[in-house]
Amino acid sequence: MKNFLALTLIVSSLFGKTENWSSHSANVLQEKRIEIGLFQPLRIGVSGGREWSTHPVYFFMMPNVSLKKTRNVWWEFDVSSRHSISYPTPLLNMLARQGTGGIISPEFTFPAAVIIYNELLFTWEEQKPYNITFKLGVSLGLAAENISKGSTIDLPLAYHRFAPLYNGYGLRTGIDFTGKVTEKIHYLLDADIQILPGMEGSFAVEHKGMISWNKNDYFRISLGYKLVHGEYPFGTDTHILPYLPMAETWVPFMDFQWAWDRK
Amino acid sequence: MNSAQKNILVFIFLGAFLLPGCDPIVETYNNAEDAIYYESQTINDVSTSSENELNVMTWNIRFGCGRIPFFGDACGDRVVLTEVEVNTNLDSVVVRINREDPDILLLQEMDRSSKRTNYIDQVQYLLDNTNMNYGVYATIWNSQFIPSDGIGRIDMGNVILSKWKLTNAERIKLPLREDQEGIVQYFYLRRSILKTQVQVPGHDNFYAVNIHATAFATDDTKQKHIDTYLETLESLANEGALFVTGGDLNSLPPGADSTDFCLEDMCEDDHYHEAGNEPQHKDGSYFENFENEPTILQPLYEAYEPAVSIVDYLENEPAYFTHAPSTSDRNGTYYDRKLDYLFTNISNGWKPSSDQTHQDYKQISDHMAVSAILQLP
Repeated sequence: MKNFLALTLIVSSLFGKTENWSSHSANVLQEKRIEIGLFQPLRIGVSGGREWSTHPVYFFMMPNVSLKKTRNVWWEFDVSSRHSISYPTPLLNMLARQGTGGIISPEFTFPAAVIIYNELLFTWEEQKPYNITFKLGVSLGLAAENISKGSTIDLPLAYHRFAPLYNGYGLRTGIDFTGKVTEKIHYLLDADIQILPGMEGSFAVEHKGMISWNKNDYFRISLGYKLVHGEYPFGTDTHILPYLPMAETWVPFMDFQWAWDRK
Repeated sequence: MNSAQKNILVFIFLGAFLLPGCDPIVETYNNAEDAIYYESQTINDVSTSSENELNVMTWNIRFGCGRIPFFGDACGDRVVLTEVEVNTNLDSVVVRINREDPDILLLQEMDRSSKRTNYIDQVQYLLDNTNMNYGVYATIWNSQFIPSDGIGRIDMGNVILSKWKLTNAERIKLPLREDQEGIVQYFYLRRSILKTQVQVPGHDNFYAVNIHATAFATDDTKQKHIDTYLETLESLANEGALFVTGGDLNSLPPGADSTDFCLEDMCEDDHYHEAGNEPQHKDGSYFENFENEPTILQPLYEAYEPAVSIVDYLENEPAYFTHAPSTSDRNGTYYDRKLDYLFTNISNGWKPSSDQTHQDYKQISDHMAVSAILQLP
């Protein structure tokens, strides 16, 4: 079960923090709309131009919550801010164990620690049906004690996501480009850059391509890939994900999403 | 072409372009492949070295772990060493190599890019800090990630260092263990033999061959490894080549007084040899897993000349032991068996009484180096 949850975490992280499935944008969900996916967070639109979200699948291993709130329009951009906090200590201690599934050496014990991420999103919708969103954020890692750098998980996504715990902070910027092929088929292309000053692996460039078939406003299926080029303690490396180890092949990730409206 | 079709093409192009970016998580190999070449930052002058008398040494350096209680083979719980620990241990290895000053050095358990040893390229480190000039490397364990015990990324292998140039270096694949489940076997070691031509002036057909045979197999994998090793050596001999060979064979000399070290090697809370114990024997400490395992090296002794003759060995076994488990202190003895060897196909090739079993290296590795002077014709 633990292995399944850990796998789910890794797969779900491919999707990052997505928004309303119609666009990766500064827009928030409509009030009373709820969305959830196999690997995507549970999102709830509430009043006041706000949206709460959490990853329920691994909530009990890594409690997390995120709030997105619309801000004023700036020039031709819709602006929102997103603020999230996660508590990765239980997850990391679960991964630090002997035997199969020991992702981190059991010689390390993780203290209480949180990762706080704040970002601004700027969406330019003048070019419809295209939609361009710029993102700029900063993550802060706070830990009760110093964490040994020998305990890093030197894998794509994981290394840079948890890096603020070791480094104290990180910067992230990116651009999302979404559009429609047809009314029911939408696509997303994005690129993000993470900068982690002082870390041995000090940067990562992530790119995601995804195509979705929207059956209606309440169900959709997505297929895609994620490319990560980054620096790690062993040097730079490039990965395309997901990757099946024993089959030695890349496979597209697939997700199913559902939505409904609260009464 | 409308904008929608263009979008589809862009999507397909990006996908196709990015696909080649993926490498296998675990590297797999053909039967024979080119080895990886190294060169020292500074090439030392070898004109003063004798071209007919070569000091040859073999040493399993335990990936610069020294005697740190590593989790896998030392009843310990350490997995990821600090940079200071690795550099300190490597410096101890460097001191011994410079003191012994070998012309050809066969090394086993060398890390190149492993999380457990801080991703230090130990091959380059030794080349840059010793009198050796050239090196070749063949991995025996290369994976982007080992999802067990926190091992993570690993690249460990066999190395041959030399004062003279190395050419035609080849990695020869050894059979995988077959006593493991598929997923374990996939992430486990893929052992190899490393063969290279050594460009000693005046000797244009001289080779060095290095092997690290399986340690923990409980089936007949070790027999297959030794068979492949013998075939490799025989092939070289049939081509008229001269060679020096050796390594960590993880096998006992024929006639060794003990084949069972389970009780000596067992950690606290381990139990072997009693009814209900499963397994009955400690992996890597028992040398009768299959018929004739105790005499598995007999063909090697018969076909080639050992640096330490079997007669000398049997006269005083403890003097030639090369392996010291982590439990040595508890047992009051540091060495309990011979696993490391040197052989040649040169008739009377070893200078009499030149062999040394460096038991004073006991604090640097769980294996002791073996060296001897090889006389080229």
